[in-house]
Parts: sequence; C-alpha cells; structure tokens
Amino acid sequence: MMKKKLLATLLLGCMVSFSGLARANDFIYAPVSNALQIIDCSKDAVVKTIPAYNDFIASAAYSPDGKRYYACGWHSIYVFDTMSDKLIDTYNFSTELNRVTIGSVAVSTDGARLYIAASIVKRKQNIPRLNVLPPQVVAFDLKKRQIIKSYEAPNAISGVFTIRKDPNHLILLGLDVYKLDLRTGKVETIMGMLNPDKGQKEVRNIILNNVNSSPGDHGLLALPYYSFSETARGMGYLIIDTNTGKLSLVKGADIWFAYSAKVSPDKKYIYAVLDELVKIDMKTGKTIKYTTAEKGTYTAVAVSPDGKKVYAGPYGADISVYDAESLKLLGVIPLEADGRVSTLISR
Amino acid sequence: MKTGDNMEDEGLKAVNKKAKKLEETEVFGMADVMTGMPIGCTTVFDTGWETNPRPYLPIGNCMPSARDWTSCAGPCWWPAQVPDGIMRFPGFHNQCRAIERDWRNLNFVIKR
Repeated sequence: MMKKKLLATLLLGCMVSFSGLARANDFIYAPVSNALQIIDCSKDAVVKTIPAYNDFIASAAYSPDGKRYYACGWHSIYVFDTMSDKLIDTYNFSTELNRVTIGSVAVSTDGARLYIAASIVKRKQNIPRLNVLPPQVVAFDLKKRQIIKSYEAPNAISGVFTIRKDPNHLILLGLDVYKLDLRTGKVETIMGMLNPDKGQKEVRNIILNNVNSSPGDHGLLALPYYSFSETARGMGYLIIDTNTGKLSLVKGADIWFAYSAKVSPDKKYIYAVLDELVKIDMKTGKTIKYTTAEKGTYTAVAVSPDGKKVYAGPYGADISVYDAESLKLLGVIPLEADGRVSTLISR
Repeated sequence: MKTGDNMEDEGLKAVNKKAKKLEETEVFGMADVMTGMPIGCTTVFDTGWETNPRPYLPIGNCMPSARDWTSCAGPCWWPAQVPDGIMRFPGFHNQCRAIERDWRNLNFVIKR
C-alpha cells in the first residue's frame, strides 16, 4: 500500500514537473537598431540582447510553428532560431546594381518560402539612369536560398498575408485588398478601399504598420483605416481572418490616430496605438477606454496570450506595459536603441 | 559582365553552372519585384510633423517627433527633417542608435 502511494506521489510529481516544462513562456521579440532584444513577459524585462546585425528593422515575420523569426531591414532579412535565439542566416537582396527595398514579408503556411513585396530600382553600370521595375510579389525558397517565382501585382502593395487554410492564395493589401492565386498568378480585388466597390459610399485609406499577430493565435488581424464620404469622415478597422481569408469591417465610433492594432485573445477588443493606447469594443466599435502614451508615440502593440497585459511600443527606445482591463500603466521597459516592431512568441 | 537581361537580349544561352546562376539571379532574383517605395529622398514631398495638427493635446502627429525619427529616415518619410536613409546616409543609425539619447552624435549634413 505504502509502495503504491509512493509510486502515485512520484507519478504525480513527474506529471506536475512535466506540465511545468510544457507550459509555454511568452516573450516579446523587439528588433531595434543593431540588436534583437528579447523580453520575458513574466518579468517584463529584457532578458537577452543579440547584437547580430548592423541595420534598422522595419518589419518582421515568423514561421507558422514559431521556430523562425525573420527580422526585415529595408534591404536584408535576418533569420533567427527562436529556440536558441541565434542568428542563423542573412539574406541580402541588394547588389551594386539593384537596390531592393523590402516592403512586406509573409512566411508560407508550410514554412518553406517567404513571399516578399519590395521595390526594385536597377542601375546600369556607368549610365546615370535608374530603372524602376514593375510591381511584383516574389516567392523566395528558404532551402534553395533563391527567388523561385515572381508574380505580377497591383501598384503599391504594402502588405502580404498568407491564409492558414488556403496555401494557394495570398491576400495583398495596397490601394485595395486583393487575392493572389499562387498557382495561376491571377489577382482579384476582394474589397475596394481607395477604389470603391459598386454601392460602396465611402473611400477608405488603410494604415499598415507592424500587423503581425503571434504564432498559433486566433489569426485575426486588425488594420486601422480612415474613411471619407460625401456626408461623413470616420475610421474603422479592417479585420483579416488569416485562417480563412475572410474580410470584415468594424466601424469605429470615434476617430483615433492609430498606426497599428491587435485583436485581444478572446476576440472581444481591439487595442490600437499611436499617441494613445485605445481599447475598442470589437462588436460595436465603441471606445471603451483610452490613455495617452506614457513615453510618446507607439507604432507596435502586442497583447499577452492570457489577455491581461498590453505591450505598447516600441517606436523610440522603450516598450510600455499596461493592464489590459484598466489601461493602467504597469511599467516601462527600456530598450537599447530605437525600434518599430514587436512580436509576441510563446515557447 | 553579361547578366540575365542582356544575355537574353543578345541571344545568348547559359551553358554552364556559373552562367546559369547569373541568369537565374537576374530573371528570378531581382529582375521583377514591386514599386511603392520612393527611389530617393528628392522624390518625396511629404511636409512634416508640424502639419498634422489635432484639436486637442497632444497637438501634432507622433509626439515627440523624435519617436518618429529613426523609422522615418529609412523610407524618407519627412525628407526635410530626417537623414536621407535611402541614398546619402543609409547607416545613420550607427551614429545614433536611440535619437532621444544620442542626438548629439548625429551629423547628417556633413559626414564625420
């Protein structure tokens, strides 16, 4: 009997310790000028600084399993292994004669490719003439380390998004919202923004900044837009369901300046930032709460997976932590340098 | 050196591995991608932070404007006020990693 009890206690102990090991810890990846900084969300402090590149990071993407983090400068992409937090590869796209500026990057649903929207300016040797190439989206094979396909695309695409349940299509965001068929290269407009659909009374202009969600989350992206019609001006949030590719709009009751926004884990709220942190009811679009930015403008925002904390920033060299319920400031995490991107990764 | 574009123009075909690599780099590498970003600061006509007022505090967009500085230099968003991060001064962040702290180091008119 004693032996059985001892065995049961040991088994329980093992289960508890294993469940403890399996429990995910949450980290904010904040790539700043010349270093990737990693914040442990249980301590709300920087726990690692990796001075692995000499660049300013303008956007970021991650593999669907969260094991790879792609920090994108204007001309290069830096690949980090999120298990070891080491730089494992660098893709330099510009050459002496081709200047490639990366606009947006998405990782394919199988993690094998990057889809990149970028601008290319070519220069001919010894000839003072620049050639701006026509708009395309390219597929970059990560194993072969080369671009394997390019697709014609509408002008001014600033956002590329994969669809989890539909690996054959991409959503492209430019003057309007498009769907690109990766098999045929066919592009179809799925929502009018600056070019209104038939019957659409307002013209919409979208703001696109740091729209990443987190690996394994609900997959809803919220993008602030500003609208104008003959009778009214307003703002709202374009919701992209990256699971299905479905689009919807949440019309805002108030106008806020917002660079980026995130949907809370329970899908009830939108948190948007610029010079304020604003909490919006996702059903009604009404403002629930707002607070003025503690340290100044934020360009990125992340919500902890339990929905309890909001990380606003960086834009300068800090991230502010707020209580998600009350929007009360919990603290400010200083960073080593300026940044504009943050991504929450659980591991 | 022949590259993919002019190889094709002149009716040349890559016969060995090295030549094929050149062809691929041009055709599939950097030949066709996407516009949308400015090709230099002189092509940008955005005005500045001061022209984005709002009727209540904080007045203006991006406050303080230093918060907006580093990010806007890359694509030349406010060309009159930020370093030309596209053509003339792409590595300015090495002088000035955090503008609010390091602004005294910044000299983008005359390079030190």
